[in-house]
Parts: sequence; C-alpha cells; structure tokens
Amino acid sequence: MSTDGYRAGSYEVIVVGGGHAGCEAALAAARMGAKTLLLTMNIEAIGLMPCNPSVGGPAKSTVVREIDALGGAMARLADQSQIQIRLLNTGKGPAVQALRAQIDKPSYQAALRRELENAPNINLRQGEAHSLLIENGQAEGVRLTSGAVFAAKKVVLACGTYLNGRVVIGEHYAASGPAGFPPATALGLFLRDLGLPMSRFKTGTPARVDKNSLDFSRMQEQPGQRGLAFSFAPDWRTVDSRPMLPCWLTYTNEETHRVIRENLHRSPLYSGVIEGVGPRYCPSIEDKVVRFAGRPAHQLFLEPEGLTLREYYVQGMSSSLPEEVQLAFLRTIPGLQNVVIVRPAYAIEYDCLQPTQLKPTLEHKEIAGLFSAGQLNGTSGYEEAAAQGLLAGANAAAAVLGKEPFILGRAEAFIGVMADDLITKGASEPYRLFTSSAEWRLLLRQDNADLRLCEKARAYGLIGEERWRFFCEKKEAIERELARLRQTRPGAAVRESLHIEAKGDMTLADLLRRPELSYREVALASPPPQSLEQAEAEQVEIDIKYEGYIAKQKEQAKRFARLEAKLLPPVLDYAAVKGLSFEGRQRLIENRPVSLGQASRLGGVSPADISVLLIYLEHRHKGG
Amino acid sequence: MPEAIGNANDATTIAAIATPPGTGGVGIVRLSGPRAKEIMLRICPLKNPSSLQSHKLCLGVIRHPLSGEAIDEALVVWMKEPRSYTGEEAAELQCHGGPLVVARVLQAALAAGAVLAQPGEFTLRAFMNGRLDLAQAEAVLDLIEAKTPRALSLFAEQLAGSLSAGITAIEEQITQLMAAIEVGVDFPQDEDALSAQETKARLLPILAAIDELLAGAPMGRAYREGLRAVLLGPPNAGKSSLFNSLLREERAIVTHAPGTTRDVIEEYLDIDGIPVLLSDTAGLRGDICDEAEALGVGRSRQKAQSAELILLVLDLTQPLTENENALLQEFFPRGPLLLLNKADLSSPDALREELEHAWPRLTKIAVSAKSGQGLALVKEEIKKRAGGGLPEAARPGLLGNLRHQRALVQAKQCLAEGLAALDEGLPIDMVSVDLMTAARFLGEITGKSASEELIKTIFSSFCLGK
Repeated sequence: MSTDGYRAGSYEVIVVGGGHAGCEAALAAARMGAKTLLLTMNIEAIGLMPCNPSVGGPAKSTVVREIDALGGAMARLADQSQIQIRLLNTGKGPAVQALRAQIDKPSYQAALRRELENAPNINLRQGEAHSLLIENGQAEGVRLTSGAVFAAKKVVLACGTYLNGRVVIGEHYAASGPAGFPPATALGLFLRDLGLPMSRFKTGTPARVDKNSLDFSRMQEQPGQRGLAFSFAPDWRTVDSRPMLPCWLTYTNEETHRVIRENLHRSPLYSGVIEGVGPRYCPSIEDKVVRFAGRPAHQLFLEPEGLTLREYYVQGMSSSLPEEVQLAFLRTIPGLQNVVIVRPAYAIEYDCLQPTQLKPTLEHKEIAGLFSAGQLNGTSGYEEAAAQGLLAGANAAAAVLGKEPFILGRAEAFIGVMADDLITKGASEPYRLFTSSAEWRLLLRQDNADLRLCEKARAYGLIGEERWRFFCEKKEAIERELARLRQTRPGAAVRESLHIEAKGDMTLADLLRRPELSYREVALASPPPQSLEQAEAEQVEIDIKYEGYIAKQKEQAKRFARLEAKLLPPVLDYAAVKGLSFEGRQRLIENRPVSLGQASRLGGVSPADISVLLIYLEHRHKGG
Repeated sequence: MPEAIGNANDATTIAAIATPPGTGGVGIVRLSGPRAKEIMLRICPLKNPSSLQSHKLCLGVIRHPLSGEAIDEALVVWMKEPRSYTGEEAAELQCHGGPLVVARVLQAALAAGAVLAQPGEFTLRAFMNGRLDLAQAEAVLDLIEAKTPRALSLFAEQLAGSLSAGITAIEEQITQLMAAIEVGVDFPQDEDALSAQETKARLLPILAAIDELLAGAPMGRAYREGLRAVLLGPPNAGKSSLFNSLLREERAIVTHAPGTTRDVIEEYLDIDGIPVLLSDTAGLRGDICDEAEALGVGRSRQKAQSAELILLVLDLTQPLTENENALLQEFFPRGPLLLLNKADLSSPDALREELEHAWPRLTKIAVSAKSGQGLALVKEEIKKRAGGGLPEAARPGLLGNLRHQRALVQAKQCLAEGLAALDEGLPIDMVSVDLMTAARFLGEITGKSASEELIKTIFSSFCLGK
C-alpha cells in the first residue's frame, strides 16, 4: 500500500456510489452481517432519480418485487413515496402485468437515506473515490481524492453515469454528472488506465417544465388506482392514504415535427459531438421524427416530479437539441403553448465497463474482490441498477462470510436473466429488461416473486424473521386452498349458484379453469374455511387458470437446465477443439462460459459449435 | 477413443474407400484432414510436387510407402481447405476399380499415417465445419441410398438447402409474430398493440405453410423409402407372369434380389421415380399337402404383413372359389387392390359384377399379363397409394424424412394449441409460449436446437467414406 494519504478505516465491504445500485448493495451486504461503508460524492444525491419520476413498468416491476422478496428497499420505498400507482397490461396474462408508480422524488430520496442511516452495519461517508487499491490482482481498498485510504475485503463499484460524464445540450457541452452534479473524473481516469475493457454510452433525459405554464384542459387525465403496492408485505394504511396526482397525455403534431426537422443539423448526434452509443428502445424525439417520418403524431405524458414540486417531466420528448429549439417545438404541442422550461433536456455520455468481464456473481474475472453494479455495467434504469446492486452486495458479503456464491438462474428470477444476459452477451447499447428477455416469463411473474425467492433469501440472511413468517403463512394458505379446490366436488346447489352447467364429478378447480368464472365467484359459492388475502387469492387463481401453460414452461425450463448443468472445464483449450467456427472459437476464448448453456447464448457461437462442444465433452468424458 | 463418432476432435487425417464395393471402372480413396496432401504425395510421389495445384488432377503411380512397391497408376487431386466436402484439407486418389487394387491403395494411405474413417465421419466433419446443416447432412444419407433418379434429384435439392429454406421461412414468420406480441407487452402505452383477432389472422397462414410442407410428406417418404407391394393370390392366378410383365414394362433399377426363401422373389420397380419393391409369392390355398408348401405359404403371409400394398390377383376366367373368397375375407381390412388377371381370355363382366356386389369398396382392375392390358392402370393406382398425386418435378422442400415430419407435426400442434387458447379467450402473451416451442421444434430440423443424442444417431447411420 502506498504511503501518501492516511488510513481512514477498515471495512469488510466498501460500496462506491450512492445511487440505486450502491444503496441496495450496501443494504444487502449489511443485512447479511458485513461491516459496510457506503461512499458517495454527495450525500444529497443518495437515491437520486435523475430521469423519469417513476418506478416499475413491464419486466421492471417484476424486478422490483424480486428485490422485495430478497429483502431489498426499492419496493417498500416506492410504496411509501408514490403519488400514483397503476396496473399495466390488465388485458393480458398475469406474466406480463406490471405495476408502475409515479414517485415523489424528494420523499424517495429522504426515505432511502433514512433506510441507510438506520441500517446496522452501514457507515455513510461523503468523499470522491480517487482510485482502487489493487494488490496481486486483488482489490483491497479505496483511496479518496482527499487522501483518506479505506481498506476493504471486497469493493463494489456502482458509480452510475458519473464516470467521465459529459452533458450535451445542442452545441454546448461540459464535463458533468447527471442533474448538475460533478462527474467522477479521477476514478474514471484510473479505470481507463487499468486497461479494463470499457464502452462509452449515452443516454438522455427530457426537459422539466413549470406546472403553472401548462394548460391541462387540453390534455387527457391519466389517474392512478388504489389498492396496489410493490411490496409483498405493504403497510396498507400508509400506501392507501397517499395523496394521488394524475399524469397528463397529449400529442405532438406536424408543426412540432417541422420545427425538429428544420433544426436537425444542430443536433449533436448528427453533428458528431456525441460519440457514445444510445439506447434504441428509448429514442429521442428527433430520432422518432426521423425514423418514423410517416407518423403524424407521437404521444407524450406530463408527469409530476414530486408532490409539492412545480416541475413536470415531459415523458417521450428526450432530446439533445439546443434549448431554444426545445422551447420552440414544445410550444407547438396542445397544452404546452405557453410552456416554460425549468431544466432543458440533455444527453449524457459516460464510461462503463463491458459486463462480459464479470462472473455470475458480478465479480470481475481478472480482479478478485472487485464487484460492479448498475449503469457502470452498461445497463439503464433504476430497477435494473438496484437489482444488480443487491446481487453484487450479497455476493461481496457472501465471499467475506465464507458463504456459497449467491447466484440467480434464468429460470429463477428476472434478476438472473439480466445477470446472465450481461455477462454472456454483454451490452452493445444501454441494457434494459423486457418481458421478452425471459424465456420462461410465465414462471417469473411479478405476483410470485416471493414464492420463488424468499427461501433463498432466508438461507443467505437477506430477509428477517418477521418477513419469513409472513411468507410461510401465505404459502401455506395458498397450498391449503389449492388442495381444497382440486379435491372438492361441488354439489348441485353450488353449481346452480354459479349459473353454470357442469357434470357432478367436476372439481372446484375444473370450474375455476373456465374463462367465465373467477376465484372470487367460486369462493363465494363455496367458501374456504378461512377467507384468503387478496394476494393469496390471486396466486390460487393464476395457478389454476393457467396451469396448462405453466406446466409447459416448467417442462421447457427443465430441458434448459440439462444444458445448463453441462459444465465446461475452466481450463478448456478451445484452440484445440476441432471443428469450432472461427468466430465461435474467439467468443469462447474471450468469454470462458461456465456451462454449455451459457456458451449457447454467446453471440457468434452457432448451434453447430454447441454440437461440436457436446461431442467434444462426450469424448473427453469417455476418453478419460 | 470412443467408437461412436470416430476421430472427429483429433487433428487426424481420415481415409476410406468412397466407391461402392465390387468391380467398377474407377475406385476412389478419399482423404480428409490436415495431412491429406502430405499423405497423398507420400504414396503417390509426383515428379514436380511444388507445381501441385488445388482442385487440379495429376497422373501418378501409387506406391506402398514402406515397401515402395507400385500398386496402380492413378489420377490424384488435392483440395485445399476450406474448398472441400468436409471443409478440411482433402485429397482423392482415383485408381482402377478392382476391389483388390482399391483396398491396397487404402492400405497404403493408412500406412502413410491416415486413420480409417468411422461410418459417417466425412459428413460429420462437414457438419462440424459448418459446411452442412443438419437437414443437409441427412440429405447426404438419403442421396447415397436414393433408389431412383427422381429421388436422387429430390435429395440433391434438400442437400442444397431447399428444405432448410422452407423451414427458415416459417421460423421467420413465427419470430415476427412473437415480436409483434412482445411490442404490445413491453410498451403498453404504444398504440400499435396486436389484438387477439390479428394474432389469429397471422397464425393461420403459418399453419397453412406447415400444412403445405406436410402435404409433401407421404410423397417424400415414398421417394426415400419406397413402397413395398406384394402380389398375393391362389396358385395359378398368374402372379408370376404379372410380376414379369410389370418388370418388363418398367426398367428394374436394382439388381435381382432373391428373397430369404426361394418362394419369394423381389425386384425394385421405378414407377415415375418412386421405388417400389414388388414381391412375388407362393400361391395361397387352404388345403395344403406337403411341408414345403406350408413353409412357402407362411412366408407369403409374412410378406403380406410387412407390405404397404397388397395386390390380390384373381383368375378372371374362373368363378370365385371358396379359397378366393376366404382370401378376400382375410385381406379385406388391408384394402387390397384386386387384379383380375387373364382379361385377354375372358370378358371381365361376370366376375366383376359379382365382386362389385360383394366388395364394392375395393378397387378392381382387369389386367392381362400377356397383352399388357391394365398394367398402366395398376401403376397409376400404386402411385396414388404411395401418396397422392405426383409432382411434375420433385417439389422443393419435399419432406422425405420421418424425423422432419415428426418435428413439423409437433410444431403444428403447438401453433394449433395457441390458436385454441386464443379462442378460449386466454391472453395473447400466453400464445408466445406456443410460438416459442413451435420455433424450437422447427429448429430441430435444421439443427438449430438439435440435441446430442439426435446428432449422434444421425451420423452413426452414414455409410463409410461419404
């Protein structure tokens, strides 16, 4: 260890970064019992939501509930600070239904800070990381720009979009982190010098506008709903007594598009100022206008940034055009004709690590004891970041405490799907989760995240006694009721009260399987000895109604597990395996996949390559 | 070294005789692997080896590498990787076609360091080097075993990828439909979400495309495996003369192949490209006197059991006997084709009417082995039984393989289940599960989701040297 600087302390786990990834990482490590330091450049920026004021949405809401099942904070805090919550995709199946909540940003930040301050085992520290202490390929601590040196057994990096950040608005750009916070330049330079494979990504955020300048009478109101929560054990009195604010829907028009087209030459994307790769799924408004030129209108939503804030977020209108152009095109939109911009839209470029250098635990393959999580790993979204933080923090703690690695599989959790996608395929653009990312999404539903994960969470010490008891009671109630429905053959009176014609040998489960009957009706006609909680009833209904499809996916997942169980030797010499395609061989050498299953998901590895490996393994096995 | 799939993962050079056993004009020994060129030059030293060019024939003398003894004069060719069948360095030694000569050339190659190829190993290497996909590799097997010229062209097309292209087009449609469903799921605020009705409208043409491929299945199988037809009937009904006339009409394309007993004779007929294995059997009758005849009758019945088509030959000049009636009773469930023989000797009307009355659902054709009357009709009927109408040329993507057919049927079943789920009012994202499974079954045909067992089974059935 070099001598400049002073020894400021020693921890089992140090987390660098106080965003959604960093906070969940610190909380998870602390829950498991590791002595943890959370280091952040600015304590005011803890839990900052620099982009949309919402949590959840398709796939993401499943992740939020998985975080809850694993004892994390995001779901609970979102419930406490939401100002409207809705269930999306209600016309579709249970696998794709998703919660989304609008969040009061100041409340969320305050709640997360309280959570960290109240957690045993966590010290909060403001300071800028300068570099990592690395001895013999092993991370051993963090040096601050102030000269303080903290020793650590494990380090989790979660520095978000701050790393060598640069904000661009039209022709103007400056080194900056998000929302006007300073960038992490020292650590950025250190990581570049370390020679780790890195990428440069770009993301953008739309303008915030003044509520008093908006004419809501020319927009459609989007109200929220009651009785919904992310957490499996919500405090309903708090959740349902939250004040509700609506969002507002309006549309762009030909005039908007004309203003944008006439100023395209001033966009930094087209003039070449921006080098970073942006997400295709989240195009800026100028992108939409260029790519979908035939479309007469694009929808946009005005969303409150907070309960008492006058700022509104203009969802759907992210842009890096100059400020005056932004103002001009916004003013062509119904309801925004007198709009006043509070913060202009901007694009931000930042460095991130190529996640293919990570193990399923999010530990670096080359630097032992160094974990990374969140946007640093090339993802986008608060939910994706928080989930990785939890995974990295839990694994850092597991390594310190001598526990088995904490790994979630693709058939087990959306978090597992994300981790595997990242380490296997890498990120060629900012990665976000889609429901289609999961092969077996009927198994990975948001409603059953606790049933999938609580036992594992318990085994690793991620959830406490109270939550465990709550879970066990729920599980038992569901199983009891499922058994009753499958065994009970209702009498003529029950069938009559349901107004259906059915043979006498049909069970209640058979009746419930009919599309026209709901669990509520069946339970009313033939009540269980003890009535079920809403969440329990939902599980019972889904289990029975979609039994056939769930069974199909379970079967597929089982088949998948076989290829996943075929482990590839860590020292396999791919250069000596005859018959591999050139590209496939390169990818296998670079990535060193854990199993044949992971190998099959590597880009560039063809099915023929997998056959070659299968046969090679067989030979090895037989040849001894 | 395991026995199942040969030397595939070693840097070995394999050798095998590529021409069929027996005496031919030319015999070919093939080499594939990194040392192919070196071994070729070692056993066939050229005057000026440095002038050797890829894909150019050279004349030389093949000598045993150890004894130096001359074996044969031969044309040799070196094929530089990856421009060879296996995608590896390869060589061919074309010598004179005597079995002894070819065997000695192979021995010379082995003595020079080549390893004897396992069954299917050349094709396995081609598959592993990405020169063939699974459907194409299977087509090689069919090509080798093709029994008629048209079957040959069918499998050559499959080798060129026409079946894979057909399957890929269907896969593509499924992927697009899945994508459309996913957009609606992931972007619930987007206005372009797909409705159940639209999903259904897009599923139907996919099902139709699979049906079209499946419609070619019986025909394809007929080309691949042929049809077994057996001539049955009482003694003296004229089976053997019919057998001979049918063969005279159609060129027999495979050498005379005696059955396991002297009582059953079999020949291949080429009926418009369909290989038909026709068996002539001993006459069947109830009152059997000697043991030899009993044995023959037993074998006739055995043949009848394994055949797809029974041609029951009746003598038109005689009224129906009790024996004939018994045979009609016995074989009626098999839907035999009734051949009313000796039409040249008698007007068919009387017997025909009697049969029409008693067995209205059986097809009856008046034939004459002697004059050739009705033989064309018989062939037409055999073609029909083999799988419906005949295509003018082998249709691209004709399914000739039971494994392909099964996978396609399974894919179709998944899609049908999806359709049923939509009708039951289940949400459209559930249908994605069926689409995904269907895509996996289709992938099994082209090898995109082939399992280890499958690949092994396929390759171990290849004949040596191809």
